[in-house]
Amino acid sequence: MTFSNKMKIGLAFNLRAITTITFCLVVFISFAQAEQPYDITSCHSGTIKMLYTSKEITVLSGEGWGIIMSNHENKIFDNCTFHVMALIQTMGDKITETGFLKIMDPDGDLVMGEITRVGTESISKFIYGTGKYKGITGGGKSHRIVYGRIPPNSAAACSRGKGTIELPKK
Amino acid sequence: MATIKEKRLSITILSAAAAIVLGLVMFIPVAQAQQSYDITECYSFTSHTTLSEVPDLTIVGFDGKGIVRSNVENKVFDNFTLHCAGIRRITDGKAEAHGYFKYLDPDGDFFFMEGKAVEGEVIMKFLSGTGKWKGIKGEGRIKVITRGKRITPDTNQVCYRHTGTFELKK
Repeated sequence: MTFSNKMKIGLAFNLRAITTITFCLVVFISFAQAEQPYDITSCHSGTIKMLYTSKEITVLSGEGWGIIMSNHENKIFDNCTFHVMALIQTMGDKITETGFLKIMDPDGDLVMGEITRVGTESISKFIYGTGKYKGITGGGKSHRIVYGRIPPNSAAACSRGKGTIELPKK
Repeated sequence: MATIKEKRLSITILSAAAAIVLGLVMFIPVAQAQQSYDITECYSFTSHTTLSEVPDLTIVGFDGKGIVRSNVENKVFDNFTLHCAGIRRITDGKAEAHGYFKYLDPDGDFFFMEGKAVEGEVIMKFLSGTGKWKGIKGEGRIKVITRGKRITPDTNQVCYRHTGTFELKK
């Protein structure tokens, strides 16, 4: 093999390597830009409707209205209000919950989320968004900081939630 | 043998010491009785009665439910739930509100406060209490931390910072 051919092969190899690295970087940067963390404290109050309660099992529905404060410098979801509807079941010490969440930012854009809870930890998954949140995906986990009943049929709570959101590139 | 001057000096020193002790004895119970608090209260309010909605005068009755988180180490009022009822008047764009607030602790004891809001600041006064809050007295101030867009037309979600002091009957 001549020196010139070796140079060509070497150059082609280097070009392929550079192209691969660049491609990986581009893909990585796009993902890194698309995925953003959030860290929030949310507080809400609402009403409880009891379907059935006994020693063994309690089934109830809850509807709440609240507000979010961001603990992260990116201020994702800061000053957003929300409306939540959930079905809750307690069997002995085990609590399970499924529900939906509507978050509205100060501009009126919306995010819809699905929530599930087993025990003290809730899992949120974003399923739909409008305006600047169109195409949103992602989700996270939250746990209760404070909780209390307001007789006769209301309750209030604050939770800390952490997770990520992903928005499609424009 | 002590001279008259020495006797006078010792009487003066004893009187001063007695005054200091008396002062300290009186000061310590007062200092112990008065406690400060610094809390974050988050509410969801519902407007339920619109008495007047003419251009120059709006009068609306409201009802709010929420929860308290303490911002300081003493954890005074942490995890209390809130229930309030009041009336808001808007005259020529200026809002005034007057309401009564029930703070319910996790043991079921509670106390009431009266709040008067004028131009963004709410002055709160302790009225009465039950159980461990019997005879509560004191005053506080409330300022808005965050107020989002109404998640439903007849509701309003707000978090406040509430600071003040109170005393309990010995």
